[in-house]
Amino acid sequence: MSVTEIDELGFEAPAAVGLPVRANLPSGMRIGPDIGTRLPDFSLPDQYGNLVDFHTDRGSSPAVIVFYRSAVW
Amino acid sequence: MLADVKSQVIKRFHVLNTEVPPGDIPAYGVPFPAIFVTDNDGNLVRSFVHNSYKIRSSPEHLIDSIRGEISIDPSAPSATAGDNNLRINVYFHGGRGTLRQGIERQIVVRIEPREGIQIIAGAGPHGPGTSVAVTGPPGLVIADAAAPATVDTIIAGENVAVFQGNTDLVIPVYAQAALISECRPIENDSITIRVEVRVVASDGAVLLEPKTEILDLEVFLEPVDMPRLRFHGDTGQRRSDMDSEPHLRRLVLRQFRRHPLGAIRSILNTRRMQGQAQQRTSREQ
Repeated sequence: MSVTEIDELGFEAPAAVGLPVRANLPSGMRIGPDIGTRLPDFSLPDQYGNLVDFHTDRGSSPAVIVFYRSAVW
Repeated sequence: MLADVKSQVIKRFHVLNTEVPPGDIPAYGVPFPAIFVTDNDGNLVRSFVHNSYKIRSSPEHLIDSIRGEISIDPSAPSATAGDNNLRINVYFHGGRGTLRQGIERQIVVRIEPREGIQIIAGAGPHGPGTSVAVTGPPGLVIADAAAPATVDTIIAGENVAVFQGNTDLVIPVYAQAALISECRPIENDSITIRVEVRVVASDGAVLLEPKTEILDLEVFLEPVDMPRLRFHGDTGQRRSDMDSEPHLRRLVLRQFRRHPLGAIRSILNTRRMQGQAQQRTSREQ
């Protein structure tokens, strides 16, 4: 059985509740690199197991990086 | 789609969710959702960070930040008004004219003055400057309008801040559960968002009569593709094509193998939270 309830932001979600509170960004907390700085180098495997090197593989194009909890939950 | 299984890049980018303690298995290691946009050289030009993971930007707004301009889909809901001096176009920008719980869209008010006409931004001896008021049904959260930079000029002997040329005023909006939920079927297909625009302009010499236009946008409420997971139950929304169960099981097992003690704690903790939630729900009914 799924339990739903409206949270403090006025949202309703079909998930185990109690969890959302700790998912919110604490007020006043800043995350991520500063505007104008070069993003850190990194390489990570993609869904086919191929290693992707961020700055090498984007070449001289702009890029968007989306940090996401998971593709499955 | 890249996997950061050990959260190394998440930590290097300073986006680790610090609200989840290290012993909290399997949730420890997840990031706060965040989006970073770079220029050609890989320097950060824009970041999209909201204070809850349930509020997110539309993909169209990311594309705008790369292009450095607002590109509106020709099929976006729109309304227009105007006269010989200026045109007012109002658009619902993002999501192809649809609204979902928590996903931010934009009301874009584009004012296009004729050559020689100036749009007055700030208040002054002439009274308040150009303004926009957006109203919608309960559950539509409407943020303050963002306006472009202004320049100072002299009109009828007074110093006045004006916009230069075509001007986009942007009002972010998103829906809460009172309007559209992920847990029940959608009742109404669409809603109306009313945009009241009051333009104060000058022809360079004198102020023109302020102009107020009321424009309506029809916006559709869209179901969400829910992940197929047992604990989500039947939500009355669309079900994703992908079966998430085997993937989630693998993810949880990997974490549990690494931290067996955390696993036991986590199971007990989840049971406790679900119990508390059920009690809260039954109290409300």
